[in-house]
Amino acid sequence: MANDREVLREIWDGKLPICFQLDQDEIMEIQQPDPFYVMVPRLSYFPLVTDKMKRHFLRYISQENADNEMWLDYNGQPMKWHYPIGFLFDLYCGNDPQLPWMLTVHFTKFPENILLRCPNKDVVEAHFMSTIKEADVLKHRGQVMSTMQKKDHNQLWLGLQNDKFDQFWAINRRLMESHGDNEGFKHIPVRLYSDDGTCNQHLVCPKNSDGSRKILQQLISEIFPDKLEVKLKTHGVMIPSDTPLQWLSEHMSYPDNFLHLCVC
Amino acid sequence: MECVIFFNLSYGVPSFSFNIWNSSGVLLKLEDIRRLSFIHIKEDEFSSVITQQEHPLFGRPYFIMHPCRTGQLVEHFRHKSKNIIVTFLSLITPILQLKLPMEYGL
Repeated sequence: MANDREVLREIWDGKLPICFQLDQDEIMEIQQPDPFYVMVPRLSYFPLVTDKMKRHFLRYISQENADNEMWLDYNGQPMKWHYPIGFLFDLYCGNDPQLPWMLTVHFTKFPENILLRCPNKDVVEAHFMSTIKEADVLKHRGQVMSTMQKKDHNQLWLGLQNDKFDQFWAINRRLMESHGDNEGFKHIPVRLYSDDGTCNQHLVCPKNSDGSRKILQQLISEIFPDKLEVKLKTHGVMIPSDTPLQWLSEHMSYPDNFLHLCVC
Repeated sequence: MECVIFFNLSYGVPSFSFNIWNSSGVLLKLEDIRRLSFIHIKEDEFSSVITQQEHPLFGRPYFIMHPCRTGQLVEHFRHKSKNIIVTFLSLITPILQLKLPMEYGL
């Protein structure tokens, strides 16, 4: 059970300053648009925080592209909107963070073999909720989400969208509880990303075969048996290798209930 | 069209994933696929059947059928079917108007 509430609150309040600039090739007006600066929550998703920015740039592009789906790139790398913003930053500039984070805005040449389509915010909600359900299947065989009412599911989404910590955690704490005599989740919902952006799937138990609590270093040895000195980062911080996985899952998961860790 | 059946690690069931391109090489969108579907499914229900996701194995966008029901279906047929993969495919393909060669049944 997530008892260290200060940690939860710190993570929730994490923000990133971003500078958005329109792709030079798409500017149709003689006057250059100003860059758009905004402070965004690390835990949110780009489609939830870019409405104002989009309106700012729309009048500078060719009007035939105005209904196209907007997408972002960092240093030529398309940004996957279905990853939390803070995680994208850690993944692509974690080793050399420069603030504000400079991103380029596009309305043409959507990279359909890299990015998922996001025609509206319902798609973001569907993705978010389905990730939480998958995490619950891993932790509790899906029993917590399936016994919750629809209004509780909605509250998770609304809490995230409206940046309401108490509203979100009133429901999320049930997803962070362990049931039965297990004293821990069945499996830990975790996604590990190498520095080339690739993710490998693994079923991870919070306990070792001798019943002891599994710590991060043991997970690293399981997944990267040939590498020495692998360090993992999340929410902008390096994670001490003696951190128990169960604690990590309860306190440092993203709102989608997954740990997103990157190798650095 | 490209189809891949893969094992969904989190749900412990097989999942059906695919992509469809038109003759100009443009990837179809979810709404295009819903309109193609042999069985008429309403817009808001369709996304509970098929969604576009990042493929767990390939890391690229694929349309994937929801694994939630698959577990129940496979369990139901497990002892009755001689070839569970064929049974699984025959439940899924009408939705997609897939015409699979008869060789798959052998």
